[in-house]
Amino acid sequence: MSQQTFDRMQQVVGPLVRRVHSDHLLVGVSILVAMFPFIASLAGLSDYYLGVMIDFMILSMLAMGYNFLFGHTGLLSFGHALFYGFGAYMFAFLLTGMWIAPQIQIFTVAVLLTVVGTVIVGIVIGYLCVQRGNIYFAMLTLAFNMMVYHMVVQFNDITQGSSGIILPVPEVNLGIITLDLMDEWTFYYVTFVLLLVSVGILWRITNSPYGELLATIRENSQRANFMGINVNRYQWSAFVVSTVFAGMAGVLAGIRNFVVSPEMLFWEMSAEPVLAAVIGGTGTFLGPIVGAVVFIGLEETLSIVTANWHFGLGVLLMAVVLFFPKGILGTYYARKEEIPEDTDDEIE
Amino acid sequence: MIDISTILIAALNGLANGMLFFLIAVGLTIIFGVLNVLNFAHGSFYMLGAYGTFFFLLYTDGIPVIGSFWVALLVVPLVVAALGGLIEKFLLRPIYDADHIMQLLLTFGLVLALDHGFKMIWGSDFRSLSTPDALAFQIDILGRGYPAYSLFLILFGAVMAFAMWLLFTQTNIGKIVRAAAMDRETASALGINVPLVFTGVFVFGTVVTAIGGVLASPLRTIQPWMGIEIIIIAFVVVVLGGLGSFAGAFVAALLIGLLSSFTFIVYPDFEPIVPFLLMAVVLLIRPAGIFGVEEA
Repeated sequence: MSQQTFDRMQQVVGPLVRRVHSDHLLVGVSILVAMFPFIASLAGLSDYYLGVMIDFMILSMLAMGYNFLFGHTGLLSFGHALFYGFGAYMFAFLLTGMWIAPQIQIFTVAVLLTVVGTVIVGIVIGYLCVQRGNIYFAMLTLAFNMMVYHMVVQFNDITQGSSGIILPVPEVNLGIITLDLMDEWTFYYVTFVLLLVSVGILWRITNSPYGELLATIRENSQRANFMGINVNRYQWSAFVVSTVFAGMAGVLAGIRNFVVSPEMLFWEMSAEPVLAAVIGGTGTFLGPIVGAVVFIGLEETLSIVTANWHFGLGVLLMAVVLFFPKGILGTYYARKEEIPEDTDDEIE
Repeated sequence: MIDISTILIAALNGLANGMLFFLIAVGLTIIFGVLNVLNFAHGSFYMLGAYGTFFFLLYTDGIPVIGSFWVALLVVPLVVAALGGLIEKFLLRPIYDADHIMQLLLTFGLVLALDHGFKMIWGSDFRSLSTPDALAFQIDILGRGYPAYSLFLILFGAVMAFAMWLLFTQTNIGKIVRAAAMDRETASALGINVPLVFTGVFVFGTVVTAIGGVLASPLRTIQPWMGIEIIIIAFVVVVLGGLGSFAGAFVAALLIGLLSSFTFIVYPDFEPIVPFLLMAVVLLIRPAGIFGVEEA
């Protein structure tokens, strides 16, 4: 077989191999997560670990959405806590009846309205942030993030300031069944299903022509510009897509903690999806989930040692950047040499 | 009521704050202009300047001559400079040729490590310092007392700005730095020790910022988030003035200082948000910044 035919075959078969590869990991992780409550109760673990797993799933959703922007457009947002926090606050406002008539404080309506609200905020903030290129984008996202943080702390007659808003967790009536989100097991599986749906949606978008176009922009934004692609507009739209998942993750985190507080908007929160994505591998589809496992694991162990466990995260982030810029999954793929580099969304 | 003395005092407050913003933003912008690296951890050097002053004065309390604010103003920036030099040499140097994204991630990791590292050592208590004795008096401005320290700060900032302008435009050092910033390879071929220039510029930027931290220590609460708060303001300054622009940093910093201070008389609740609103408006109307500097 000549080198040329071999290359050609690689081009055709490559994506399929990768797809199967990603699928295996996804199915494996899904089964593990789905079985976890049963395994945990058999092993006699307390509900605390269910909570830890819920945290992991919420962070996974946030980081997957985050990496849709970072991995596909190369735009580095240091301000995703804005949307995470906004989603949580808006949801809390809606459920406590501060914004809408108490008669329509229906869970599903509140969730839908929150998604719409997050999209609108994402459109406005995104428009402002994509005006000046990558470096400014990182600064602007962090700056607007901290602006909203200051607003929430400052206007405490609306937001109840640093004490936060207590979130009344209602029963969810889906017609056929009624879900009690106060029940740890129910909430666990609701989160799980929402995460699976999110991953599915992101997978679909990533492999659509739109996803490939975004990859073109990341690889060479100048060339994309010459091709007549409005680079800013596509970056903007990818930003909005990613904020939806941040907002949803915020809603879930609010329900999980029964309270929505300004910490959800603090810059340290913005660091979490960055770390999860970078540790896991930003060039890979499922990297952020792998990164979320590591992140939650570190949080659980380091926070026992010191309240300032973010110190360890900072050191880890620097180490990953200096020594393993491809992240865990990216390095693993590269080692296996099946896939020199995850090129799921690269255009040759 | 708002009378002329209120307005004058607000203007002076605005200038004093603006000078602080300038000292932080100018370090950030010079380092970016020459090294082409945006240092997210820049605010941590400011914080270190303030904490350094606090602990210097705590430990030297009662010792004649040495135990004074003015000695701290000399000593603390030098200590911060040493840390800056180490960070440049061991963390930033390996990634000069890497992607911008990698540099941003690295310095973002550095903020987490430095800020939480300091918090581990010094705790999260709020601390404060009193105004140095020599300037602990008030000056009469239209019948109202105004702290002499704030006037000193305005003057000091203006002198520093002028000195830096002279250094970068009128001296050989300035020429060498600008040559290294313009084209590393050519400068290197002309016999300029580019790595040395880079280290020098980074240390210089951190020193200016640390001086800002020392000067801020009697005015502001010394607390673990002062670094991230000031870096955000510095970002607003460079978005308005343009990254790498010296004059832009000066004008934008004073503008933000003045605007915040005037907002405070009219509607105090809005004061922390004003810089961001200004930034949003500028991004909408003039995306390239007030001075229209091309982005890097």
